[in-house]
Amino acid sequence: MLFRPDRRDFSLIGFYTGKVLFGVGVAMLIPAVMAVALGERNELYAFLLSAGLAISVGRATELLLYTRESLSTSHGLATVALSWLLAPIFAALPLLLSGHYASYLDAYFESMSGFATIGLTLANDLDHMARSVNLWRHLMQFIGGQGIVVVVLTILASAGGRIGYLYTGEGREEKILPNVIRTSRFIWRVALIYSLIGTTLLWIAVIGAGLQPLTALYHGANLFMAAFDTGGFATQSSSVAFYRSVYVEAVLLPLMTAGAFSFALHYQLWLGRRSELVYNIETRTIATSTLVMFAILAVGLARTGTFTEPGVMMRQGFFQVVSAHTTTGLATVPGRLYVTDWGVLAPAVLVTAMAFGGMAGSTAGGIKAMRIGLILKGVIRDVRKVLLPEDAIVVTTFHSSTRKMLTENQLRAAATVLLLWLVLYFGGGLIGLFYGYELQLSLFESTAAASSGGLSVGLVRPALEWPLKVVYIAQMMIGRLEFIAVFALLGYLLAIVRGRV
Amino acid sequence: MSTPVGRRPIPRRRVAAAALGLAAFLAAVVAAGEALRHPHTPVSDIPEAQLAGADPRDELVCPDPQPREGQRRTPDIEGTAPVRVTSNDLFDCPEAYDGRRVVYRGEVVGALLERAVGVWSQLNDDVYAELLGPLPAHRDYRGGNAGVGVLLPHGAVDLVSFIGGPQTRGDVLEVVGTFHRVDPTGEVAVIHADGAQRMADGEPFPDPPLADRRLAAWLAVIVALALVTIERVVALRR
Amino acid sequence: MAHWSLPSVTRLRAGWRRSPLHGAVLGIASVALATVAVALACTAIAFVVTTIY
Repeated sequence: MLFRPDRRDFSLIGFYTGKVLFGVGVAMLIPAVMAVALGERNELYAFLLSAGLAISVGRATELLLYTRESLSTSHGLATVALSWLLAPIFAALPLLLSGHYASYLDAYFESMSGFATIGLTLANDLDHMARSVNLWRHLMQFIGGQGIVVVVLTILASAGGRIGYLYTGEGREEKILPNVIRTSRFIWRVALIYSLIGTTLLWIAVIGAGLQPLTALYHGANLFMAAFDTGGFATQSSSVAFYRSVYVEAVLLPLMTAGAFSFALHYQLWLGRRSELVYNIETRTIATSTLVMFAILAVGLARTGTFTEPGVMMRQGFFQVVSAHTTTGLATVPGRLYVTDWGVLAPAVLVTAMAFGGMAGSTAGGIKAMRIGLILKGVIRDVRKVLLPEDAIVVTTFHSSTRKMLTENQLRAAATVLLLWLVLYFGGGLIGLFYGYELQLSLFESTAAASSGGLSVGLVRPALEWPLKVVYIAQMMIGRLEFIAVFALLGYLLAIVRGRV
Repeated sequence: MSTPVGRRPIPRRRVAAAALGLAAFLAAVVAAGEALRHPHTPVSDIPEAQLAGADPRDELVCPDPQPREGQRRTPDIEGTAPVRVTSNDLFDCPEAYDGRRVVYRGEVVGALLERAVGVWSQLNDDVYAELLGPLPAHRDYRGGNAGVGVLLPHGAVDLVSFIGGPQTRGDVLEVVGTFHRVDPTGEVAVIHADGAQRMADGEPFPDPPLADRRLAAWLAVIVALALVTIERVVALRR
Repeated sequence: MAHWSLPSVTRLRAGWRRSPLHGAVLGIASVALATVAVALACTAIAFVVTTIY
């Protein structure tokens, strides 16, 4: 039974949302500096205007709704959901003003796609886009990706030991580090060091591909943000294919993998516990799933004669499978070819890979390896129960940093969320049918949006019907926030209307 | 059940008023954004048919029937007279054109990547290349870019003076070469050109600073600085 | 004059372990290792599949 939110609830949620908007505003000063350096005057004004607005609104909210209290879990979730709705409004402004987006809705879609690290784009004429604006597109993915990890590992980790596993890979009993601040610091340290090393490696690879050093740095930084935050925006319309370089693709592969690893796993690896890679239920699930999916993809592509050499099969097929499974969405193949050249089986594998997703507590989306792994273990356990004598006790454990017992509650939570994901994927797919798109294409795009995969067969384009744009925006948000934050916000809204006084 | 101690629920009317206020503010932001866009008219006089981009619902009409899943592919080479193609043709029917000699025309964008085997380029043949020109010099939105990767012979670098990118419209090249669905180095859907000609010159395109946008920017900066200062002062007082 | 000698291997190793870069290198190396391992397995699969079909 819900109580109607009172002044305290509004203050808390509003205050912290204001802080987020302030942060987004400050972030917009980075592309503003780039615009100054490159002489992109109109873009500079656009970023100053947008940053000024976001900073003003953020600070004003903090002043008006000042509170010293700390967030409870439900407040935190509602704050996250509200921030996720409002931040793109400000972030979309410089995109709209760049002249490359047909409407505010398109710009909002792009911002949501950025913050939620989806990678679907509605940009018109990307190849002529100002560099500062393109940088902002990629920065949004960096901020959104790192942001969601911090949120998940701090707010959701405290949401309860049992379901915490499903969102973070860790439960309350073992947060990565004993407190919120240390956890956030660790996340940022990992991100920073990966940024330095990853950008440098990509910079070298892109110079090797033939670009000038300064341009290569710009491309390298953008590519890094797209890969590590499993985003999928690219600087050029031809995505990674633009560089015509195996080396660039080879450097991107471990970066995408790193992006799909949970920060809890990164912590273990940084402590030198390499064995975690072998025992962890999620890494096992993802590794197995990648192998199986690649095998099926390879069979599909070989049968249609698309790729007949193992070298090309690896270069194109493996990259796409990893890009899909980590829900990055960088492409080495023009999206149209999935439909016209890859047959039916291979694109279906890509959809499934995106649907499965990465590890919980990472920037990847999808159903998450933890849930899939737990459900599979549950199935195996049930089969064993049937085969063993009736009074035998079956205990199933799984490994995630430490050995844990598989409980009924965890299984039920995992299965429930799995169901919600399937409803999200298929719901969006069915709505696409209404507009005349084939089921195969519609499902691909719907899964890409909800799982944050971001590969596209061509449905998402500026000429897309606007209701579908709205549907995909909703899917992107719900998928990224994994239902629970959205439910928290809806709960507050419901309580306003129907709560008891 | 009585209200817990300390709760001061806000009347629904006030919540509704606040929500409306927020909505109005956001609408104002959107309106301001729309008002500050580039002042071009969103109309073009180019016939619609020429501007049609790829719609996934369009029926595929390929020169040869695409084989179904499970059948072997064979390249179809009908003589050596090069056929003029667009990027849409090539991507809609990659197998039909695989191994064929083609003529392709497009704007050089991004960069020229010099390698041992040749010079990789991206040639776009979308509406922004020649028909409409690049954004944001107009407001005729016709979708994303469309183009093909083309491996040019080494000498082609000398042909190109302008490469399309931010604030630059690239040279338009016409190339004759072979389309490869999968080329020997593993690239997908590319043309290996043996000849290239420059058909149109590129140029830098200006984006003159917009006065009303500059004004709005300054206003926003001043307000933001003021609020940040106020917040600092208030925080120190606490 | 103070007597200076080469730091022992043990001390160097301890210093390295304490440095912030240590964790980063271990972590990144592990990720690269995992990627390469899966890539190798997939290469084998690619060979098998392209041979069969």
